[in-house]
Amino acid sequence: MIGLAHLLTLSTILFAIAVCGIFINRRSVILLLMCVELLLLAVNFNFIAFAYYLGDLAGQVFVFFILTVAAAEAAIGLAILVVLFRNRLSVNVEEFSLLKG
Amino acid sequence: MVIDLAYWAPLYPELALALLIPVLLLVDLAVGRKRPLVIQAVCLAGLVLVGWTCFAAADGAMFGGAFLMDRLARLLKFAGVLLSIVAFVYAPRDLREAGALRGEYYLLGLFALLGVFVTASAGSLLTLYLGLELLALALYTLVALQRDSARAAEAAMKYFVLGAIGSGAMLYGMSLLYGLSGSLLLSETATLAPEGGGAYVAAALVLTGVAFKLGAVPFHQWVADAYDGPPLGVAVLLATVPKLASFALIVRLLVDGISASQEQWNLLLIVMAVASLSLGTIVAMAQTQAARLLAWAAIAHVGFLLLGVVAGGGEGLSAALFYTLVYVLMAAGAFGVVIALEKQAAPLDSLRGLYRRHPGMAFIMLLIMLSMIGIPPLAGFLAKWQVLMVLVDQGFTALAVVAVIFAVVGAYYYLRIIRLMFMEAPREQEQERLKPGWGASAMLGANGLALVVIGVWPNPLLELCRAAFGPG
Repeated sequence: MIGLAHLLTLSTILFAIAVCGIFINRRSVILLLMCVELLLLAVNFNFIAFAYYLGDLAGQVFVFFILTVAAAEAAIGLAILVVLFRNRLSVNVEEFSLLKG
Repeated sequence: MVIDLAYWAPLYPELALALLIPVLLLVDLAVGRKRPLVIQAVCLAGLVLVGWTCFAAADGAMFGGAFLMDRLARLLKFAGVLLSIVAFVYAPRDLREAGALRGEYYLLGLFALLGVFVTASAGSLLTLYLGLELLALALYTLVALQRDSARAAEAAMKYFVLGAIGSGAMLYGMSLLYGLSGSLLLSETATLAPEGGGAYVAAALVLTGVAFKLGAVPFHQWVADAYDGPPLGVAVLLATVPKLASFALIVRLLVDGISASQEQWNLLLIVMAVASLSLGTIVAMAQTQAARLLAWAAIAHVGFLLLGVVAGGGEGLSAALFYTLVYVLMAAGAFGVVIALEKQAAPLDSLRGLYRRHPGMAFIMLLIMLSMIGIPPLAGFLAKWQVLMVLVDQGFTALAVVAVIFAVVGAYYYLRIIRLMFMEAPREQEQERLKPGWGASAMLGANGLALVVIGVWPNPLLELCRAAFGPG
């Protein structure tokens, strides 16, 4: 039987993968954006698990809002990425060094 | 169906602002790019109306307590409207030079303001999250507004990624809060017992998110880049309006939402406050760009503000609120002066000899700098004094001493600016007299005057701040 603890463990693992991906990744910005999405999905997983075990709909409603916001966020992130690529002709994280200090 | 207007009374400011945004979009479409003055005028007139609705709106809770209109929300909303007006008057000059003066600037600024409104009134985790994201998404886009600038794009990307991590961490904390308390309402998560690992983790994650949004050490990396990368006209908005939402976030989520575990997060808050004060002050000394200096100074000011929250209670929070309001006023003025220098990515050296190029503006900058140091009788002194008094009252004498030490150390870079303006000759390529335009001049004058008036006659604002946390 899969219990709440299993689901929470899974979401924690997802969250950890996302955070590690963001901080370890030294190459592509696109990978960063994917990790940000994974972060939000881990949160969604948590909300759904809690909502199911609490028998409360509010958590599931929250998930719909997070999904919508995540879509908007991805759109803006990709738009910024396009602007960045046009100016720099690169999506390499290590080359982001115009601003220092 | 008859719409009962009185029923919607607590929502008037949000409704008015949400109405202004499409109107402005249509005006932008109709008038086109050729007449930016018309868009600015419509925007400012609309904001005056929105400011009026802040007073017309009734107190009360809506949507089952998810939306609260109270004195704190009203004060923050009105301050947000005022600051947006100030920023919208300062900004166009700089944006025109940067080639980024489009209707989108005002639109995104208004969306950010709407985000501040929703955050200020949040009564549940959901409204809080939506308000913050509305604010953050508008700000990411604003930072990237100057599309042909690699600096702006890089700043936007850094801000976006770090901001998204901050929201993600906070959201994870929120999901744990929801799971442990079984409710999204902040009034119900407040009753959550501080025992058990889950509550600790939730509090720590929530605090991480708050620190990201505030730009407090150790989550401050985005601040300097986000202020320095985009045009100064964007930075002036970024440096002022979101600070109000950050303060609302502290009050609603930390102080109200997880009040039961205050002992635990207060300790973390003390560490963050002292780290922000010290690092912000020290790194600011080494800066040569005006925007970066103001950014690091902002981190130090956030540390000071957090000390008020640490002291806690109605007194501490009202001192922190007063500090926030005075700080954003000073920051707006400082950016206003830097914008009037007509320099993209202005180095500090372009302030050289400002007294000879425009005595009035140099005098206003002098007022702002003295106020930031905390010299009486200016508003900045009183703001620092309030926080220090509460700290001592609550027995945090050591923290008060640390705060005073860093305030004195911080005087160094403000005095350096004053010296540059008054004691040195202008650079050779910058001899001509500055012409900031009558709108910006009047606003700068009002901004400087406000600092003096609040400093000499602080009671009205102080009373408002106290009432925001007072009983009933």
